[in-house]
Amino acid sequence: MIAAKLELRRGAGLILLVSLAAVGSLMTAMAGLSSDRVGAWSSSGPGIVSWLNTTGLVLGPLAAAAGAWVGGRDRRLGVEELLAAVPMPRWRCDVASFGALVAAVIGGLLVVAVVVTGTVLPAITYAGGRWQVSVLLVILGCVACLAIGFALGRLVPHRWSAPVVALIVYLLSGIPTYLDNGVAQLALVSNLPSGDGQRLRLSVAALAIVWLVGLAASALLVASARRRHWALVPAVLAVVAAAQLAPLPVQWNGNSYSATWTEPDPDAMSQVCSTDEPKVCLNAVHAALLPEVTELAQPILAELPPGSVAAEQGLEHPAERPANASGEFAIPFLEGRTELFTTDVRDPDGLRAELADSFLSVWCAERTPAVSRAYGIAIALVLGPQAAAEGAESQDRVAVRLQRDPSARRAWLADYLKAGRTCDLSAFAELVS
Amino acid sequence: MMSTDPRSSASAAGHASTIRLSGLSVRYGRGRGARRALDSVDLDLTTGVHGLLGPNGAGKTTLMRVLATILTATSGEVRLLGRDVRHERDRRQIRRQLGYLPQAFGSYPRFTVREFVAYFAWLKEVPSRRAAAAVDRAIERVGLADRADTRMKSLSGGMLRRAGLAQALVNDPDVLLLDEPTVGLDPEQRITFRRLLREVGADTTVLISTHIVDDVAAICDQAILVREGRVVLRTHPAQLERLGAAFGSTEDGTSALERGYTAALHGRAVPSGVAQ
Repeated sequence: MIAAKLELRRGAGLILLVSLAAVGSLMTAMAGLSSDRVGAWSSSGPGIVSWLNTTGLVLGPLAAAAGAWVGGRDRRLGVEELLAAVPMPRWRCDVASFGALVAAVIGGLLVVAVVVTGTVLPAITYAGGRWQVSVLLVILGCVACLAIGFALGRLVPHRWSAPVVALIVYLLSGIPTYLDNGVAQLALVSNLPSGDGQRLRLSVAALAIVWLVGLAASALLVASARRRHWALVPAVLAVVAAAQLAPLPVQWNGNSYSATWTEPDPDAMSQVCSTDEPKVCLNAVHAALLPEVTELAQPILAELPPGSVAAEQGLEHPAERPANASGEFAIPFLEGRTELFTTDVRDPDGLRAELADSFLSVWCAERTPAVSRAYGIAIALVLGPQAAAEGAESQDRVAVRLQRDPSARRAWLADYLKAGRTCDLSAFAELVS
Repeated sequence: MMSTDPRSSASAAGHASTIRLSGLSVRYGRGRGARRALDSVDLDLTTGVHGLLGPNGAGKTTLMRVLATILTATSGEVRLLGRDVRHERDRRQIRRQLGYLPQAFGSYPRFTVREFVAYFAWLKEVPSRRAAAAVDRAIERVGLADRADTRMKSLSGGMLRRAGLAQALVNDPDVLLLDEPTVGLDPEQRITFRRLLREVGADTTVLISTHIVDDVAAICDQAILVREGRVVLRTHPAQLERLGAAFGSTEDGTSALERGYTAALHGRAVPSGVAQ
């Protein structure tokens, strides 16, 4: 215990903790300032973990560097001769030093998590999605980096070992993210697939845990054990787990890469609705966006006849199923629509146009000029002449006439939606005549 | 071995050997390149301060490292405190009762003196309830009490060696091995250091490897001369002085002790009444 305390107070442990916290917080601040990041934030617990996973690309190599520094320290400082004559077995000293570094890694990640969570606490509206499993894998990934660094530092106790190990771990973690195959998921850090409404499959998470723990344990045994061949046992376990994980196909499921690592999260996809009419419902994982999306969607929905659509009026789509039927009035899946670490919609005007497009799209096989013109007029009508000013249809004589007459406008839009559902081309021709 | 000191024999008769070497040989390398660092060394040491003298390459440091249980003997038997160092469990027990200060050693620069010594108290498995007091006592004994909270990187060379000695003393060892312990100490520190070692040697077997014959004369009950891996003489430092008085002259500025040491190394007989 005294060794762990000393390591934390005087050794590399304290430096590692401060470095991880500072770098992670700096990355967060930089990402928050740019505010144009897509897909990393969903106002949820999993969103925070997803961000932690992203920071692992830099924090993992930092941990590896600290491991290499401490692993080679005794020999580099010339303390080995003193240590060789003490009764305490070497592995116990290493466990104390390594334990302190693990505590530093956990502490550093915790600080980053607290900083992010503290900053965005009012913006968190969903805390499911097995975020605890993801946190465990992020921590284990960094600990595996630490262990590998420790072993390499012990084997090559040079002062340059730490930066070289950091660079190697960075490259080995970063390059696979550009590969679309299962091997990429074996990267130690920044490897977890994430998507709104998705959660890690428990079976895959269990294999990933075996992979990371096995790797870390074999590295530590190579570094510290008197009988280094013991490292073969966890190494074999790690290889077996990796052999199961590597062939899992990486694919895009409309929500996240590597659908084989994730599964839909039913709680995240449950509906959270506005209280006033017309009702707007979002998936629970995007509940933070409800007020702003409601404000954008309700004026459009108010123009549309309530009796003319199916039950999914104003409903956010699930991730797996894109809108493909006319008249559903489906709100597009809102992943990546939030400004990082806030509950504000990125580009509200763009989202408003997309909502109009989603509500009024015509999904007929044949798209005649009359269909296209009717669609343009419908968009101009629901967005208003100012919002749709750039479109030629806003100057359309039919649109201009209808904009002046609200009851005629609603009747026209009802006919438009009816024509869209039935793909009645003659009805479209009549609408634009 | 040419001779033994009667006082050593007397003390050996009174006490059981804490260090016993029988036919100890250590060889470095293999085949034609092999070099014998120690050759059939027999040695029995009991409580008291013993000085290990010899030229560079004589095998002093190798002997210290074998006794510190760091280096394994090629052949022969090494028993410390009645235990055989070849057995792992015995070796661990020996190390609990061993203090070792190597010729060159490093430290953790960010640790304070107190933390450095406390860390070694932990490594030496000093019971935690006694550790804090043991650390304070060791630091005080080496005269670093006023520097206990100074970081190791801020210490001078002499203070570093004293901190090293404190870590060697922290477990109240029964066997204390010091390799060139007075290097870097100023005259005042050396005097304090000698006093400390005499005090420690009252109930501990202390073996000091050194080039400085004056240290041996001032502290040691027995001088052990090593040459080419063999123990060539065991005697009281006073007898070395007498040998020096019989050979050479003071014109070249050497002391009688130095001349005695040189003479003994080159096989000159110790004056009668000394040799056994």
